[in-house]
Amino acid sequence: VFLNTQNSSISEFTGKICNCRQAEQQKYIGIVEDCCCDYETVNRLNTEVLNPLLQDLVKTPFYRYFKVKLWCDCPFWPDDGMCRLRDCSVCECPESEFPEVFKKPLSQYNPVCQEGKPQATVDRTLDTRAFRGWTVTDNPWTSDDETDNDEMTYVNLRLNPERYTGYIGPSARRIWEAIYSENCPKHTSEGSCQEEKILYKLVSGLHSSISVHIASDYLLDEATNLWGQNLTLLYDRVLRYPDRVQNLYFTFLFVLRAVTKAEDYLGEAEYETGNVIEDLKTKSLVKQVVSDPKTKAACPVPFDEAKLWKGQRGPELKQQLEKQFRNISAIMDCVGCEKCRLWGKLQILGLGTALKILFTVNGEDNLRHNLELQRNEVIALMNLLHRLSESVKYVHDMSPAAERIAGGHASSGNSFWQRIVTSIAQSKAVSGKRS
Amino acid sequence: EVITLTPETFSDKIKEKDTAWFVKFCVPWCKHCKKLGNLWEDLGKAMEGDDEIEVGEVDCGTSRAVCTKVEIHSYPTFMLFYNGEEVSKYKGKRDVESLKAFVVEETEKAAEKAQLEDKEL
Repeated sequence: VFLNTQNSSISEFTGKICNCRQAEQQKYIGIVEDCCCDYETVNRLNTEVLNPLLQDLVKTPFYRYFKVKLWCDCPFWPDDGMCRLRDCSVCECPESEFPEVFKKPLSQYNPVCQEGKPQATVDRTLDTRAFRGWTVTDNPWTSDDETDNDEMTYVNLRLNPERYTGYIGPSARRIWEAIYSENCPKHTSEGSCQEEKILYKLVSGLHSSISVHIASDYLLDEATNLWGQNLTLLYDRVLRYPDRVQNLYFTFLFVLRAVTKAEDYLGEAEYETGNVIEDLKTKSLVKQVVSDPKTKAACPVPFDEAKLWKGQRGPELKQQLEKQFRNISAIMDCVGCEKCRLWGKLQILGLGTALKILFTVNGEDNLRHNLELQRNEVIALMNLLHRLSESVKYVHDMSPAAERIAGGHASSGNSFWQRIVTSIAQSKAVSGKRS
Repeated sequence: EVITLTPETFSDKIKEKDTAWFVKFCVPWCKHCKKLGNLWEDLGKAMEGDDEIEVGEVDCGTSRAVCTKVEIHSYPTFMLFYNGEEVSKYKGKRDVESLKAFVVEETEKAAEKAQLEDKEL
């Protein structure tokens, strides 16, 4: 992958430990590229406000269950799917556990049917609601037909955490190569449109986030089933490439913008699972996430999509991005590791939902009436935001330690124990490739 | 016909003289194995006319010792044995025609090689 061949110099620090730490922590300063917030603000908001809320939110019954097609055939190459660790497998949710409300067929809200009725005029005039029930429309940004319930699997996300699965080697690399080379070329020329960079940056940011999750929950010793942090892997996969860190922040802010833009819809939505107390809590948490005054004050527009795709190129650009993103979505069916496929599909659907929201006709009044989301889309969107939030937090918290261990030069001493730790960490990392 | 191999039977079976064993290694919790469906049974039927080739399977959940011994680390693994020795692993398309073509070709190679070695003795 071309990314791995980039020259990247490891920045060296001299002086006291405290100075190194200050320098390290300020490694990313200023405005996140193409965004409207600076790194310091993002880190503070995430740590103090968003991450705690999202952690609670994804545990609620509504946001815990995800519906997914895990067994579509790969459309691009023969199935080479394999299991290595038991942890590769998805623990499926027995249907009895899935919230009963989720299984009921949704009555489809159809504005066309209201045409011609005398009440229609009155209804349209008076109706100011953003949310009119969960829809069953297919998401144009993904290749899965979300309205087709055949062969859907119900998954309890809490029982299937995203972490190291042993999915490495040619099979995993081929996935990312297909994504980057076929659908997400990196524009190196300065003259290229900013819009076309968006998709690359989003995918790169998602890739970084996934790598962070793998490093943060890594199988250190298979024989003893010892799980822990792999900071060397974190450094080698993400931290040593500044653009990967930057794109992680970019993707986080992009999704955050989508969530806050859909504030009315998400705030009014019905989070019903049959557990009244939990459902009220869910609604409260969502409102806090999308309407938090601190976030609004400190970071009012995480990403300004209006600047990017207004004008005559808008519809053309949307069509192009939709096509590319659908291809990326289809590649998820080629992921050999089952759990990776689950999280790949969830995060791609979440990203597709974010794109769907941000490409909905701009303007507050139009958005209110044009936005329609599926329950599963919202579940994917918020879980994606949570995953990104965890990665941003982990990168922020662990950068100093990872730089010291793997960077090699940040430490003022090259002690015996330092070398032992580095050696052990590196031997673990050998088995972990970019996956 | 597909023969289930266990720790008690595996070693002796694959050592059968002038016989190739094409063995599928799986575990119950792996859905890639489940997704194979009737593939292995269908292959077993397709190979019934050939006395030199046997089709076997190992459940690595219940026969962990076998899989550890032949160093199986991912599932499904399709491994060909001849005269008790590992010949090769199959990594191609998972359909009967492809599997059959592979096992016939590899068995012929292994048989020729074995004859060559016999002459050298």
